[in-house]
Amino acid sequence: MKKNNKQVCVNECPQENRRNKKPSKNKVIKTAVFGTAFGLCASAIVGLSVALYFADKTVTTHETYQRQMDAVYSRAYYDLLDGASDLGINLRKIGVSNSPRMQQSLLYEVWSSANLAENSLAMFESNDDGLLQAQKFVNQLGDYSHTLARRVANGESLSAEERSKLIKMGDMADVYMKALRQVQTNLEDGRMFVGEGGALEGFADAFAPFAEPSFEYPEMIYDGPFSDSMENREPIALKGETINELKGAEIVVDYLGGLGAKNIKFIGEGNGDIPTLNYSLTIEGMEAFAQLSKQGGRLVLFNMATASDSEPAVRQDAGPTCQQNALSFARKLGFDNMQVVWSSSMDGECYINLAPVDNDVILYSDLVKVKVRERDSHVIGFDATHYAYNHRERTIPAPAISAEQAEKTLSIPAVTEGRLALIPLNGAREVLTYEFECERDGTYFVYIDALTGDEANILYVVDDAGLGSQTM
Amino acid sequence: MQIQKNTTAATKILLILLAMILLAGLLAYFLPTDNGVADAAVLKQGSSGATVKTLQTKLINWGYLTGKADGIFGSKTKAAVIRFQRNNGLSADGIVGTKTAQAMGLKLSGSSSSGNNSGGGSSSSTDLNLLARVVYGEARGEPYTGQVAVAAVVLNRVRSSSFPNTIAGVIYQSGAFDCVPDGQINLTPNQSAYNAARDALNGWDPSYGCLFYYNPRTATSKWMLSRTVKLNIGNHAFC
Repeated sequence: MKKNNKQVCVNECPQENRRNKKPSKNKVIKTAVFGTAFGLCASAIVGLSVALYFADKTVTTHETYQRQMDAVYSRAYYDLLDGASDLGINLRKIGVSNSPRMQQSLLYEVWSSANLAENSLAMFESNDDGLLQAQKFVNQLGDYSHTLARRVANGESLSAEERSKLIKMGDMADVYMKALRQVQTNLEDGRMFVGEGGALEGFADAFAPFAEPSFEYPEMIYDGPFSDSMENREPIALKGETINELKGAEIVVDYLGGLGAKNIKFIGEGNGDIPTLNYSLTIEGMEAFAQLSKQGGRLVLFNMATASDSEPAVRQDAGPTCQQNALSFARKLGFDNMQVVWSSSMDGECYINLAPVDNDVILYSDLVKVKVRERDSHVIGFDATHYAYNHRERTIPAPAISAEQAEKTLSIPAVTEGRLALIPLNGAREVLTYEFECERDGTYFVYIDALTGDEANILYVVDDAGLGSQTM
Repeated sequence: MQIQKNTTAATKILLILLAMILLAGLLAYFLPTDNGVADAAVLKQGSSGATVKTLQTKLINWGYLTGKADGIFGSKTKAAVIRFQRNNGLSADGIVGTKTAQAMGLKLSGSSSSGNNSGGGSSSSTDLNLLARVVYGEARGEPYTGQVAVAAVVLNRVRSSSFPNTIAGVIYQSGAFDCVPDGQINLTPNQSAYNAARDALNGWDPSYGCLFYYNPRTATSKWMLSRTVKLNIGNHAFC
């Protein structure tokens, strides 16, 4: 009987009985399942909120870092604009100036603006031909202006060729400014540098004109470290016939056999500024590497790994033996008339510089470097690249002043007799000098120009904790 | 009947709590955490290298650590460091920073060398350290000459007019060396990396002037791959 959808029982109602009974197995399982599901949902919600909180925190931190990075790039960019605009203006002024003093001051300004532009451009990624060329332009321009400024300061005047080169560089500075202005329009749209669609992405493209083959970049040969002649050097000292890898292997055995070289293997050619044949070998179980010049088969580089777990054995008394071994090793390789000109030791390894002597003049440009292990005075490294690039027959002028006269110009007492030395300066220039070792609260090497009596260079000896003693 | 009801409710609550704990545990494990990018000049759990080995040797000698010095800073090493710090009145956090290193007489990389520089020398020590860290970060599995070549590429770039004019400028230039963004530049270099850096600073350059290098097996940049390779050493092609 149904009344109000409620079944009215009198006695022994089945539902009540069911409620009184222990819940059936199915119901337990159902409850368990529902309970777990509910529990999982609840903890999912809790867990997700925790995760969201951390994610939000991370995003805020991320955005802060992005803004800080943007500030760094923005500063670099605006400094770059400043430097570049000054460049163009000053180059034009030099073009119309007739006074050496004004030219000199303007040239120094160009150098300073170029430095600012170069430092700022260096902030940006440069895996792009246009940008690399733009960076090269700024560096060479600054370097060139500096060289010219020093010459004008010494009383010389600018030649017509130099003036026209400066005007050409002024034109290129205009291209440079145009490239930078293009980036500026992006920034004015409110874009940042970093991030998706940021101004950084189009930055390199703005400099594409520099990479165009039609872009006429003048040849920059002058007396400075960034001049074209310093960038691509030729090994003029290497003469003789070209050797092949088999002959090269024999030469390696001949040169390095005395050190215990084994397992000599040809591993390829090198096509850098010095064409070489490259060999790997082992000495006393350690891996080593030797490079012979293709032309003439001279050993230009040899290096050896040192055992990683052995304590470096520093010996204070090893100097003379190491130097002797370095000299005899070089002699065996065909480097005659060498003299030790510098030696510095660090962590049980001695770096010894040898220079050839020609008619009592030490040729510092033609250095050969030998690395000797102090523990047993064995040679473990060799480098003759300076020799390869620079050694040649030279006509060295006779000195115009005597050593005694040169010594008189020193301001601090010398501890050695002056000796003649041909030193490299500012890139490709070589100057004949008298070299004096002097002492005053430290060791100095003073080089007096043997033709003019002026100070050509001063070096100061620094005891560096990481590198051993160095001259600076 | 009451007791049974309570039991079922209690079971439900217990199940819910258990599930929540499980989930929270899972999330905590997967939440983004500091992924082992080592700090410069600080040793902590996760660090490895020669300095860690020295640290462990010292701890073993003093009785704080048992076992072998394997160069890996794990939980046992951390516990030993904490014991040392507690015994010496330092804050016991298991991290070897400058104070703890000083107390141990341990030299950490990047820390300035104590006192015998005559003023001007610190700049070249910094250069050596920076260069060694780049070599270690970029080429630690390479043959020794490959390591010297990597250091030489940095110095060649400094000399070149197309790149920044300081060692730090070249190393930290955006996009130049992968070890900078992925943090490997902050690992402690080993003796081989220091030797390679020192050789390069003394003029050794097996690449004879190369300005670029890449690993042909992992490089993706078309521009880099289009450059003429001058020579190969180990896994690196130099151009």
